[in-house]
Amino acid sequence: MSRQDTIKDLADRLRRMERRVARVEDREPSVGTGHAALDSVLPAGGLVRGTLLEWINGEGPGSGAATLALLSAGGLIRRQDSGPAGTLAVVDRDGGFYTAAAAGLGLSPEGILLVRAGTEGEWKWAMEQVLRSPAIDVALTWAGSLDDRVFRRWQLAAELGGGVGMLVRSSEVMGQASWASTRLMVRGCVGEEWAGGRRWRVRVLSGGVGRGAWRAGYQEREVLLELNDETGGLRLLPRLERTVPPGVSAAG
Amino acid sequence: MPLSEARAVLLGPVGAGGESGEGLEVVEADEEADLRCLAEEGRRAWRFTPLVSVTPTARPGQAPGQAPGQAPGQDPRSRPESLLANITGCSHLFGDERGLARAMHEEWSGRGFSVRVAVAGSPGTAWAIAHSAHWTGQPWAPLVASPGRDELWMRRLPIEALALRPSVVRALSELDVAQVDRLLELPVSEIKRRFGEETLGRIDRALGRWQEPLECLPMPDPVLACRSFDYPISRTDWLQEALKELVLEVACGLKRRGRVTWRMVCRVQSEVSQAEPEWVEWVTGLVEPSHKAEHLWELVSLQNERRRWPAEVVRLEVLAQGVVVPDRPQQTLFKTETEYEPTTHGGVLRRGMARLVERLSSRLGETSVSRPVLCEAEVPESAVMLVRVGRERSVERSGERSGERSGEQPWFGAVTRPLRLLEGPRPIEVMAVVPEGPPVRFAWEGRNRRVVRHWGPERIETGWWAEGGVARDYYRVETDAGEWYWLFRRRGDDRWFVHGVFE
Repeated sequence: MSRQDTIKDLADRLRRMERRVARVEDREPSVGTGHAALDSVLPAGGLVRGTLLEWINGEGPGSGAATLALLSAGGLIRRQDSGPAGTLAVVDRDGGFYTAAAAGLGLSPEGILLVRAGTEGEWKWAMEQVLRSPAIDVALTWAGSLDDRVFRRWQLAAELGGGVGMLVRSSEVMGQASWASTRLMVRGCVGEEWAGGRRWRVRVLSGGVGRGAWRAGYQEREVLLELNDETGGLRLLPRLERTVPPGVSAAG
Repeated sequence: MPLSEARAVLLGPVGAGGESGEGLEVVEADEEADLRCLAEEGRRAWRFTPLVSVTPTARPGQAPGQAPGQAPGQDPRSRPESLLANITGCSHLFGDERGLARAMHEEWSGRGFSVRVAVAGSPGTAWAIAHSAHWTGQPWAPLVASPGRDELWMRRLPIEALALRPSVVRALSELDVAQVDRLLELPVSEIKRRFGEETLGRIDRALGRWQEPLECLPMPDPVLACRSFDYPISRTDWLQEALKELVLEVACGLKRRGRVTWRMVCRVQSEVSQAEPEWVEWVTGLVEPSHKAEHLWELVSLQNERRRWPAEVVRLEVLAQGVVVPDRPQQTLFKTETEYEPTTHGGVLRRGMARLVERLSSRLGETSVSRPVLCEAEVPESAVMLVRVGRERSVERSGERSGERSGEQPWFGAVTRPLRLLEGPRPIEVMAVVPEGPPVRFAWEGRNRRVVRHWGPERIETGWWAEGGVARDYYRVETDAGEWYWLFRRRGDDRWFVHGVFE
C-alpha cells in the first residue's frame, strides 16, 4: 500500500469513527444539567448520554474544573419529579475526593459511589468498568496524559453504558487527540470583587470528536460563570460573553 | 375454633343472609406444613444469627415446649408460629438490638408476613412480649426490652402473656388478677396450691428465671471442594485451572442444595519454607448472594489478578461461606423493567449496581469501593465516613447514635469546602504581613503563589477533652493564577498547612 493509500485509508477510518460517535449524539437527546447557565455553554444544550466530556484546568489543579463538572452532573444525579435519582461514580487515584464539598454543591452523598484505584492499570480498568455499567449515570475521574487506545475504550464503554464520563485534566493535554465530545477550558477569574461565590471563564474548545473534528459551523466561545456560595446557583454573565473566531484555539 | 363457630363469627347468624358461605374460603389447618414453612423461614434468619430455633424449647428431661408439670401439646408455645433466635454478639452488625429487630421485622413484613418482633433477655420473655404486643398500642412495631428490664416489662403485661392454661386464666380473671404484676404479688405457695406446679413453671419460663435451651436448626454441611496435589505445583496456569474446577464444583454444590453464598474462600497450602505462612486465604465477597458458576468464577479470577500465587502449592480448597436460602422475588404476570432491585440487606440498589460493585471489589479490594456518609464532626477529616455498598441501611440505623447526617444538606456553602482534601495536612511556608493574620504568599508543589484574596479565618476547634483534638484557623485563598486553596494556621505553634484544593 502506498503512502497516499495509507493516509486515505486512515482518513476514511477516522471519518467512519467520527460519524459513529456523532450518531450517538444525534440519537440521544441532551439532558439538562440543572443549571441553565451551563446548558447554554454546552454545545448540545446539556449532557448527552454515552459521551465523554473533558474539563481542563486552565492553570493549576485549583482552577475549579472539577467543581463545574460536578455542578453539570447534578442534572443526571438529582432525583427528578417523575424519575429515580442517578448515581455518580468517582474514580479516584489517591482517595482525596471530599464528599462534604460535593454535598455543598447540592449532590446527595447517597448518590455517590467512590472507587479508589491504587495503580494506573487498576484506575484505567475501573473507569472502563464504571462507564460500561448501566447503573452509573456519571463517572468522574482525574486524567493526566492518556493513551489513545484507553481513551477510545472509555468512549466506547460510555456509549455502551449510556452514562456520561467526565474527565478533569490539566492544560498539558491540550494539543493531544481526544475522544471526548466536548472539551471545556476552565480558568478562575482573579481578583474580581463581587458579593460572594466564585467566578470562572469557561471556554468551549470543541464540540466534536477526534483530532480536528469540530462540528461544521461550530464556533468556540468563552463565557463568564458565577457560582453563588449561599444559593449554590450558577449564573451566566452575558454582557461579558465573547465569541472566539474559529482557528485561534490552542486545542490540537 | 370449630369450623361452624368460625362460620357464625364471619358470616353472621343463620338467616342473616350470610349462610350461603359465598366469599368464605375454608382451608384446613395443617400444622406439619406450618412447621415446614417455619423451618424454611428459620433458615432465612441465619443472616441475623446462626442460633435459630423453630421448635418449642424444653428443659432437660422434658418434651420440647413442655413447661414443668404440663402435659405436652397444651402449651401455646408449642404452636408452630414463632422463631426463637439467640442474638448474642450479633446485634452490633445492625447498629444495635433495635436495629437488628427492625431488620428482622423488614425481612418478613417485606414479604407479606404479619410479624411481631421482640427482643428480651430470655426466649420466654421475648415470646411473651411479642404475643402481647397489642397491649403496647403498637402491635407491629419491634419491641426491645433493655437489659435488666425484662421483669419490669413482664409485670405490665396481661396474664395471657404467660401462656397459661385457659382455665387458669379464667380463674385468675374471676379473682380480678388481670396483670402479671398482680399475679406476682400472690404467694408462690398459694399459686402452686390453687393452680398447680405447671402454672409456676410457666411463670418462671416467661420471666426468664430458668435457662431455657434453644434447639437450634442444624446448619447445612459446608459446601467445600478441595484438591491435593501429588507433588508441589508452582505453575500459575495449572493452579488457575484447578481453582476454576473447584469453584465450579462449589457452585454445583450450592445449586444442588438450593442455596446461595455470600463469600467464596480460597485457601492455598504451600510448602515453600518455614518463614512463609503455610496457608494463604483469599476471600471474595458478594454484594448479593449467588450460586451462579460463571459469576462466582469471574469474581474469584478478578481477585486473583491482584494476588500472587505462593510457590510449591500442595493443596487448594474452595469453601462457600454465608450460605443462605435465596430470596425468591415476587413473580409478576408481565415482565417489567425497573430502575431498582431489592437487596438482601433490605435496601434497594440501581439495577446492575451489585454486579459492578462485586467486580470492582474483587479486583481492587473491598475497601476500595464505598459509599460516603456525612457525619456530625468538627474536624474535616472526620466529616465523611465510608461504608460498604449494600450495608448503608445498617449504618443508617447505627448512625442514629453516631451523628450521621444522611440525606441532609451540609450547613456550609457551595464554595467553602475544597473538593480535594489532602490525605493529611501538608506543612507549607507562608508569608503573612501581620502575626496571626491572613497569608500573603505561600509555596506549594515547588511554586510560589501570591494570594490575591482570602476569606477567613474560620476557626475549627475541638474541645480539650476530645482525643487528638485540633485548633485551626482556616483560610480560603485565591492565588494570582485564579486557583483556590484551603490553608490553615495551627493555633499553638502558628505553623501553616495546606489542607485542600478547590479543584
